[in-house]
Amino acid sequence: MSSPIPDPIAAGLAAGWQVTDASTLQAGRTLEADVVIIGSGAGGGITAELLARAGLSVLIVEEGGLKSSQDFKMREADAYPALYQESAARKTRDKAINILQGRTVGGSTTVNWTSSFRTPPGTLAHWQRQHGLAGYTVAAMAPWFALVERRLHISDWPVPPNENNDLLRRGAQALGIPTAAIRRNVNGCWNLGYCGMGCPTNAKQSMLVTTIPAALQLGARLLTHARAERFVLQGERIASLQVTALDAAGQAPTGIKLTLLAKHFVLAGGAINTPALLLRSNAPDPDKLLGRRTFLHPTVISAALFTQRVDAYAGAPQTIYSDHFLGVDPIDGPIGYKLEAPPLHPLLMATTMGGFGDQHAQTMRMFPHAHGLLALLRDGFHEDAAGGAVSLDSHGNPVLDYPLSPFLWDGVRRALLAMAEIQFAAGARSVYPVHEMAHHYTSWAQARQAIEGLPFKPLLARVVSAHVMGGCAMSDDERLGVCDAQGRYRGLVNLSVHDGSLFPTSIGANPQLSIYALAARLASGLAQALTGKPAPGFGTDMVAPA
Amino acid sequence: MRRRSFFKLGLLGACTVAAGGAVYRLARGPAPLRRFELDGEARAALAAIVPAMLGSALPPGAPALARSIDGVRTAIHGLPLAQQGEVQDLFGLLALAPARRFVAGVEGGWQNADPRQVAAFLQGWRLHRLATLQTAYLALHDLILGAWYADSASWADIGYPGPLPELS
Amino acid sequence: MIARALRWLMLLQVLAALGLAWLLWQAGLRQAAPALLLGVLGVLLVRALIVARNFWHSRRFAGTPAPQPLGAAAATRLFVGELGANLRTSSWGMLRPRLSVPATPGQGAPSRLPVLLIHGYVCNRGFWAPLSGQLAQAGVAHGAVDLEPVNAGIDDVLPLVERAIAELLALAGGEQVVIVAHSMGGLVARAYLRRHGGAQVARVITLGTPHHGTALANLALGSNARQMSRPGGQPNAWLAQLDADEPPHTRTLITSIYSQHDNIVAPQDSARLPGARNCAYAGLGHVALASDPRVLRQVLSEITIVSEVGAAAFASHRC
Repeated sequence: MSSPIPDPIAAGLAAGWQVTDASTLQAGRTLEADVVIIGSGAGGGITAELLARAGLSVLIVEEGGLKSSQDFKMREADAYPALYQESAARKTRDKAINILQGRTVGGSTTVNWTSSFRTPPGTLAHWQRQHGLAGYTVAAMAPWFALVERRLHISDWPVPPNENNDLLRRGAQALGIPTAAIRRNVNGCWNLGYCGMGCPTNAKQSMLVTTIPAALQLGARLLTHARAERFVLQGERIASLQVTALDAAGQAPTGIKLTLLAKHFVLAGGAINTPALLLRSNAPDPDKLLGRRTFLHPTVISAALFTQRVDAYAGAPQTIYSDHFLGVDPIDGPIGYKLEAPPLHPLLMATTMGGFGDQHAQTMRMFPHAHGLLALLRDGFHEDAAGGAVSLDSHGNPVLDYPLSPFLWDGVRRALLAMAEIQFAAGARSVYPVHEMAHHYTSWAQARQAIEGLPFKPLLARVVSAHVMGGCAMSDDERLGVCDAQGRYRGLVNLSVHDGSLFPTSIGANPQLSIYALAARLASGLAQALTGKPAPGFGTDMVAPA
Repeated sequence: MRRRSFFKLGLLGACTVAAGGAVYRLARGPAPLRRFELDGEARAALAAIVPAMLGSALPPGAPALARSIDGVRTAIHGLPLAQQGEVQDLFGLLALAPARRFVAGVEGGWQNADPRQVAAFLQGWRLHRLATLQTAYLALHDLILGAWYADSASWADIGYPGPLPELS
Repeated sequence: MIARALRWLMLLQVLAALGLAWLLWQAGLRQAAPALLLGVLGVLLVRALIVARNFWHSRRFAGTPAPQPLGAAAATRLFVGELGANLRTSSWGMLRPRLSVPATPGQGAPSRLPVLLIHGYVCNRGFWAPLSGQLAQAGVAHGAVDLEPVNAGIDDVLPLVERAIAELLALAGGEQVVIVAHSMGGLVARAYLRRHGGAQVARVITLGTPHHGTALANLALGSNARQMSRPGGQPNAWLAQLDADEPPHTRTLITSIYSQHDNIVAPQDSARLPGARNCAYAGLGHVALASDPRVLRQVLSEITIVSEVGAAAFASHRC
């Protein structure tokens, strides 16, 4: 039975949107536009709509495929290979950290969990003080946040949290730890819980159903299954972008190549991918900054079992958070962490729980009673948390080398302790801090003693990441950033970067809203620079007939 | 097995694995980017490892085992080609006769592997000080368990209702 | 009662057109057809001016951010579309308030939940002629309520709604209805949910409803107009109370469809209801919302979805 939900992408394609699936091309070609945008995620989508509204001809290049609500069947087995980088199994060089990043039209915004936070004032202040970003005050960014919050329907979500999130609230409350509700970019959400597999009802206001359709409606073009290989440079200009067509599965090149010409290029491939493209292009990088200071919000997980049903797969995935542990120490002191709850779907749970055999099977049979908490470590603010470095392997693919230092492990230990205590305070029967040598502990005292004694080394403690940031930092100071504060790449006159790789540190909060606001600010400036006219704002939800 | 022999075996095993990758590559040539192929040796290894990995989640009988192996193959095919190559190397390592004996502690081939031996081998690699073996264990863990529980046929056993049928 | 008033008004307009034609005849235009034509145009001009004045008035209270500006072609379409919709409803549809009757349901077509139509300020069920036709064509059982008296407070007409729902369910079977409401009707629907809860309501779709009031109601008459007003630029006390009384899960039952360029709801943003599903259109007038093909497509689509997937999936009773 096919879904009764109308698919706005299908409708748009039928109405004549210019979308080309490069996997179907039989011969190479040269394409030209005023602006070529690489990446259709948070930065690329916002930029595409604003530049299209400014009257520029825009061509968006996306490595992933075009999947929309009619394709989103809410199954992990389908979603991970189709919508994520490396089948949701992208890892750091030593395989110690598993990275979730989107690879599809809409980028990571198509598969994220809708959590929307403005860049914390402490982060902005740190950028001003330490990273030469004088123009990034709370007041300067506020109107951009307001603009994108309206555009993407970001607001308080009035529905009460599901049990998985409410247990965080109750456990924290019992310990006197404050929590609050997460704002979400949703419009008419059905409270299903499948955000991570693509929203089947189009309630999630990802780039896929907002800015990309708006841009396409205004005549922008979209090229999918197209990997941007490298820029061809001519002195200080980018002469062209070389693109490789991929097969329909997005795995192997078809042999077809395209050349893209433009007056200006906007690189919005996201962290890891953006620095990689620049490295492949031998972009100017006198201070060897490219790819360095790539941040991950290294994340650790605590799983618990409760007597009551938790059904952690059901209902909006993230609705409660606590920033308490970000404020205990100064921002450049011992590493702080943000607490949230992850949704638990079968594949995710099965791979997250360590161990195997009968014990693992027994735990899985308790699935409806399982609860998850995660801690996002705020990396980038201390010299011992200087992030990782992106380099290229022999095939030209990016590899992130992210060392896990004792400074970070200290944060991991504290986070696991805090989460276990909260889970027991909420009434957990047992808590399993995700570590190859941990067990299911049945009391807080037992858990505390065990966690204090666990050896913290890569591959023993499971560390994951869903937020990649940095690697192509912006700064007023050219020794601190390859880009200036307007996102213009130093040394190349017609290149801008509009994505999370610009961040000089991690954000300390789920980054999508920070990227939207930053991209809106930068794209508006770019539109003005390219057209000579002040940039227009965004349009309405339903675009007026042409 | 006496302590000293055990250490010698471990050291030998470690050297073998470290060289094993290189040996494997020398034996089989450089790795072009190709789709993963589940050959007979790899299938035999999986057939022995899957029951140990899944434990009581795996119903008895050939169909269930085939389902799991199929799921693993599908999951591997979803990976980028470079990663598929790595998995191919992993199975190659498991299948190489000398490596099998020294490294896995499993004598006489995967077909004759005792389940407890396989479980012990998995546990050994899980906590091994050699990162190569740890990552190999983690790869097997995620592939086998991930594929099994991503399959809707496994959902009834864990009480997962699945997505709304009207929207699927 | 509205129908009768509108018929009298129509008579008045006909007489005015004839009167104008006679004046022109007296002034020297001695041909019947042109004189009559000019008479009719004269009346139309007056009606157009009234609509224009609404647009002008609503722009003054547009609020921030200002609605996206329309090009000349789109602005013309907006005005002409709204004038046309006005004429069709007040000079035809509401004079003979009858709903279309659906074809026999079944016959392989998927059955949908019955739909209750609630009109707005000083209207009657005849307002719904275009949507009723489409519902009938789709085989959807539907009914309407005529809110009387015309100036009654919103809470006072709730018994009419309650009875209409009961009758509709008795006729069509089933346990739940979908409410589609225009303008003030949307506030009636929310007031109904406040008093009776949502057990019998699967979804509420509001068209051009001033959920936070409208400046134009400050000048209108009746208790209901007061309940839609914005004294001092803020929603009045009745609306504030409705907002405060509304539990979060009720919001999730509501889809609010509105136009950025509405000429009756000002600020146009007033129709945006946090927590509900909000869909903004551009280039549509207030009355035109209820007959625009795109809006009607969306309305029918939502009725279909709720009917097929069930209200349970929409509602958030999990929490």
